[in-house]
Amino acid sequence: MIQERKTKKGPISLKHGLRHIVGPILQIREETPRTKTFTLSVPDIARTASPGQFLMVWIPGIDEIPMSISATKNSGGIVEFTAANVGEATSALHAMKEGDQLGLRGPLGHGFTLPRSVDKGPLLFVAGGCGSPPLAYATDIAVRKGHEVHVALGASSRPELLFRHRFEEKAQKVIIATDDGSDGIQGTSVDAATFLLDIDTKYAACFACGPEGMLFHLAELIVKYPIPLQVSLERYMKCGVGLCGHCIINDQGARVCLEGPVFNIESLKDSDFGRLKRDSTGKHLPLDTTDGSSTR
Amino acid sequence: MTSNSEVETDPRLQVKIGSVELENPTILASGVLGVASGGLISAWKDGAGAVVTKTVGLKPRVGHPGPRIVGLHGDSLMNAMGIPNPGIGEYLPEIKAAVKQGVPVIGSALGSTPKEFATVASKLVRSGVLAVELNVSCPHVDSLYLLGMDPDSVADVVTQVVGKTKGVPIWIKLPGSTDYPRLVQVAQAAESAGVAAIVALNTLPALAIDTETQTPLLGAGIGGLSGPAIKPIAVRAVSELYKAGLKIPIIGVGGILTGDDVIEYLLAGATAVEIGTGVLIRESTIFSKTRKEMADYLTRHEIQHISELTGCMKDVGVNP
Repeated sequence: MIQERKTKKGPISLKHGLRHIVGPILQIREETPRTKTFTLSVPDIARTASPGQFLMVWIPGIDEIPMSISATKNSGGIVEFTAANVGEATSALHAMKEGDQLGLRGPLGHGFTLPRSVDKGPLLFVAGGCGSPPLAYATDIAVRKGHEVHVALGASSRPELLFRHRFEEKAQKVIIATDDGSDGIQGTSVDAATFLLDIDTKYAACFACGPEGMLFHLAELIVKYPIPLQVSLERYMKCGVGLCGHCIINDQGARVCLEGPVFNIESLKDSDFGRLKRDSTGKHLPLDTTDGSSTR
Repeated sequence: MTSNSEVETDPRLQVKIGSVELENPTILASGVLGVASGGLISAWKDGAGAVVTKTVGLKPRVGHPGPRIVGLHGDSLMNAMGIPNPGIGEYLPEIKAAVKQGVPVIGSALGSTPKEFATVASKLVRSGVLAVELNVSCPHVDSLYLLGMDPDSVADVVTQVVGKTKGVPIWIKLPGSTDYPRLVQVAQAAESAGVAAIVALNTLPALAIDTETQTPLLGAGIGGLSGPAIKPIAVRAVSELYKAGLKIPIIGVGGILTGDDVIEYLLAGATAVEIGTGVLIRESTIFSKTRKEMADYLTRHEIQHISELTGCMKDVGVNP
């Protein structure tokens, strides 16, 4: 039986995350050649969101897409998300200008659970490719709570390193890896994580986001150390609130949009993690595990 | 009837929909959780008497662009998924995985022609489903909605399907509508053509507009209304169908959140019910919750068996 998940405010009700709050884009920033950050003021979301949660972003007349929250600020009710230009909807998003209107619903899903105590050791964040946004947000919160944060950041090449400066400003250590060796060590974010794990194995916990192949390899690696690992998964989502079942990953009916997108690695046993995903029709397809590890 | 190790059987709750025996009268409605076998399995483990698959057609469908779901005031919901499905060939493994675990699965079929309905239904039957529910009523796929409101077209589809499904019960899901006389005509035509049960109703055709952007809230432009707002409409439909003297069972659907809601549908004339939007409002443990509430009702009213309630609404007449 599925365990009932509750938010801090009680059971998830229909009112939660099902109505769009429409407002103008206050600012658009280019982060890398492929990614832009969009800033809106939505105090209700800014006040309740936590790192790892996501938004359904409505581009009126085009589509609605899930986007990880990359930052919030209580003053001004600021909410930010960061989108790579990868398809029709994100291309329309990238073409938008400051002042154009977007609809946001959320915060949705369950994010990272940071350790209560700051004395159990530093936290290891592993960000591959476009996996930086929730971890940059998590870094802000963790550092504010007094955690020491170490980051393993990987990308295909130096210009693609997303939120490098944000990580370097807040985290105590940042190890860079690029596929082409244009910055840091030549390799993936998992190689950068290995480097950190081998010099300091007393991490309290590890948090990761990136291509699933990369997450899968990290999960295999982390067994050696062993450190609790939480990963943020990406799946095709149609409703974002656990109704349609498009993002279910196991026989217990765990939904990436509701029970996830962040999962403890143990809860992913006997799931699709690292093996299968669904396309827009719901077709179950093998996940190419070589994809993530070779590029990030 | 398959036993579910996670649920203690309560004989008072068992119902029969024609030849289909269910452990209790609640069924997971089509389009909810059913894309993946895991969704079907988990709903059954929570205590659903049966589960209906995602509606599946012959060819893959991507469905409508987003937003595909939007919440309204008063816990009601609109959706326009657009029946995304990978096509029957790719979907069969999901059904088989659930059937293998003993889940009582009802297949939901879609077709662009009567022949296509029959082809999909026959493939569903071969995958081990207990019954096939024909979706002739999606309110945001125009051709289907129009089909479901036309008695002759429905009879045509049913005749072709019944000829290809080897005696496996065929159910038909009626369109969401307040045109009760028409719904009765469609149900009667379907009954004559050989369906084993009537499912009433699908979501109601509806529209919601965002006033800030002056744009329809759903990507499809229109959608289907579900949840508590439509319950009185669907209960009325069930009652009208029951009073029309159908000889086949009626399965009520629309806005069921509690065991008491199930009882209400039964009193109106239903034999069983389907639950969809309730999965969102009361979470996916809604089946175990309604199950307990139904059992409590039977105890409180000293009723031996839940099927005794079907059609037992006290007739107070209708004032002109």
